[in-house]
Amino acid sequence: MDSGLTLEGSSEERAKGWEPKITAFVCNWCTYAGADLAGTSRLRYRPQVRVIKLPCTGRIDPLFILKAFERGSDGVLVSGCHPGDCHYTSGNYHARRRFGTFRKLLEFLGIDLRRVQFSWVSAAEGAKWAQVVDEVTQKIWELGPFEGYRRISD
Amino acid sequence: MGKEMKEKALSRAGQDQLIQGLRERGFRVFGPRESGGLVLFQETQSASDLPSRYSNSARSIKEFFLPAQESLLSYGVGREEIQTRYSAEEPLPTVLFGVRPCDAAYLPIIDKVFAWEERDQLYLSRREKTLIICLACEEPDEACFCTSLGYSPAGREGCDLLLTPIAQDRFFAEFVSEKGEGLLREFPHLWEEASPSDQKRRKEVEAEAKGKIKRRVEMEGIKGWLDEHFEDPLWEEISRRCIGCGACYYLCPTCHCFDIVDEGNLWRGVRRRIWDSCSFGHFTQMPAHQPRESQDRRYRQRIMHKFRYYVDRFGPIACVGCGRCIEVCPVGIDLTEILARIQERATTPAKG
Amino acid sequence: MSQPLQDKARELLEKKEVAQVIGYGEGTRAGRARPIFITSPQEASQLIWTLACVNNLAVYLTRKETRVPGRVGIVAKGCDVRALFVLIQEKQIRREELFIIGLSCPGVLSKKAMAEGKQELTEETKADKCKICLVHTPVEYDFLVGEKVDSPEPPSDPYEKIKELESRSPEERWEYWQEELSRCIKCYACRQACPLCYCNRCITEKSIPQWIEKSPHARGNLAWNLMRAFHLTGRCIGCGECERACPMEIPLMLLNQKMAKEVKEQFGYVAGMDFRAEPALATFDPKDHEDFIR
Repeated sequence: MDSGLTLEGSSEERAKGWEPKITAFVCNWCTYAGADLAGTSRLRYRPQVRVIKLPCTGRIDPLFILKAFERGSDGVLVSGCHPGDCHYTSGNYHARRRFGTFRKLLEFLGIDLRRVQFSWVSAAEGAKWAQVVDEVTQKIWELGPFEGYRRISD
Repeated sequence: MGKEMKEKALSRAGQDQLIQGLRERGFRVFGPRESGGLVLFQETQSASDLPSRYSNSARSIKEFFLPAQESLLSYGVGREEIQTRYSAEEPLPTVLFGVRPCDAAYLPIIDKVFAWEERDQLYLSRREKTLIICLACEEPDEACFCTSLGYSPAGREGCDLLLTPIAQDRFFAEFVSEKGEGLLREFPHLWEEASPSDQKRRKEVEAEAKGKIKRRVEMEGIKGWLDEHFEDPLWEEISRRCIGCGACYYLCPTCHCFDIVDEGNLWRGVRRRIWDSCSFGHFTQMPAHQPRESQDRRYRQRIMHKFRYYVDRFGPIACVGCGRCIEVCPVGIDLTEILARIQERATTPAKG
Repeated sequence: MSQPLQDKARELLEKKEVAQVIGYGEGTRAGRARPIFITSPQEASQLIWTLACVNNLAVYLTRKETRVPGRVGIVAKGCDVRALFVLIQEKQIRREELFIIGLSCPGVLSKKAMAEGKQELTEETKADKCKICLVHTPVEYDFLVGEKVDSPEPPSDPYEKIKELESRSPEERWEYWQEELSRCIKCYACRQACPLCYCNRCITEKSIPQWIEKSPHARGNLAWNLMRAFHLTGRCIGCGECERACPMEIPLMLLNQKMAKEVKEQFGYVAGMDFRAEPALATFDPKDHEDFIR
């Protein structure tokens, strides 16, 4: 089963001659396992997301989001265990508070929040992973390259 | 020094024509402009861009010779080879218009360290390509003390051309250097003859401005005391309130420390030179040793460098009395108060 | 108002109830005040309490050069006491180590007003933070200089400027902050003046890897100012020292106040009002909102 979107992008997207670069910070126990399940289930989904695995969303310093943009990402996805399911009990609760506030700071400084997405994807939700990736990638295709950061980086 | 300095007069319209003319000849012209509640040096199209009343720009002109950050080289690691490219480009011809004499005076002082054993080509090439047109100061600030160091609101040190306002629509023009004289040749029709009353008025304007400077430091004996008192309880006393920021260092025209940083990753990056400050806790941090682990030692370094070490090595005191450090310090540290306390100790006979 | 302050400080030092009093003394410029550190009863006469007493003295409690062993008497306005509370919350100092000489404060002069030599406290000359202050009488003190006063209702919406920025488009906000932050020279006056930036080694001083670039270019300035605002989220008590110390007039308080507004709206938490409370970003509620998470 796939999400119905083509891997290569629509003809308008391909005409742009540019592919989004999306960095996904995911937790090892839930989302990474879910992404693995998507793979073993041979689900097809957009290939523009680069996955960085961390033990827990609680380990994801919001600074990483900024670094991803500095290093050329056009979008960032942060994904972890559902509340109550964290392997370390409460890491995702801390992450929820941190990202709930951090995203407002990014927004205040003029960063389009559609470029920063969050999700809960469990180890059993391979299909959800594929769907989230497709939706986020689609959104970033539409938004285009992150010009703001391009302009301030070498 | 047998050559006489040429003097002329310039009208306000002439001032504008000078800026236009320089721009037409391919110079980038920077002048003081109001920006975000401050006066900063920015690209200037005409004399009307200049603010009407202000004492000095928030930052000194040092950033035109030692930028706050500049790329030195960039590197890229490819499949077959590693490429490095030196970033330094030929500096563009530049004019700094409306520089206060205290700020210009920093140049002959700090040129010495950048033309020392290791000649800093980045600094020196910018110096060579930059013309300094000074505007004498009529409204010194409460924090100013240039006169205590031998400078003047209408001083000529570091200037290529010095303009002193002598009337609403008239400046007295002094062509201080060879470069400055070039302006006389290049724009022969701008300049008017300077009359004896112009000269007299120029002296009066300078004297009036000097008279407005209330802050006075007696420098006698300070160097001698510094030579003998590397260790002294005074250092801890005067620096206790210092919070260790870099504000006074970065705004000071004569401070010139820098750091080299590499920005990038294993495959691509840039090496930069950026301003640094000896007030920062980690400035002298080395793997095995930290000789300035407390703020009093770091503050001592500031005073010693400017008033003793630089003098020993190069001659002049590395301070022009612009007063920015006093203006900007968030905790009210006052360099002239510190110098006065040192001077008092220097001139008081030792007890017992 | 300086007399009761001096008397109390003298008494505390005479009775050796404190080893040091950190307070304000005359500055060298007319109408200014600056931090002083006194250890003997005779020095108590140097203490002043005027409209120019703007510094947040709590910053000296985490600096080794000014933290002498023993109990410290610290002169503190309402905003300063809030900073003390966060330091206590974060285990940087114990409540017992402090003798808080609280100041009943009508407000202090703004940086601009002092630069212009103004000496009267009016709506125009008051520091911005004072216009929205709710702690004219500190929430806690061991001794109070002056009478207890209630904080007046702020004359205008405290978040007026923030709401105006929030109403702009992301591109407009980006341009606004790129312009304001372009003046940043990474002098770290904001960090050094902040009583809650007390890390022995700031993240920007870590170079392997370089998490936050030290260079004062657009990218480095955004990283520094954004992350400092985030490290203060849920902690900043709004003393405004960062903005006052900034030599480049960057409106740093807009960032800090915006985050304080978020923390209050999202978690109902206001920093520095109760030192026994859990800091907002050090804890969580299983029922925290997650409308932004798919």
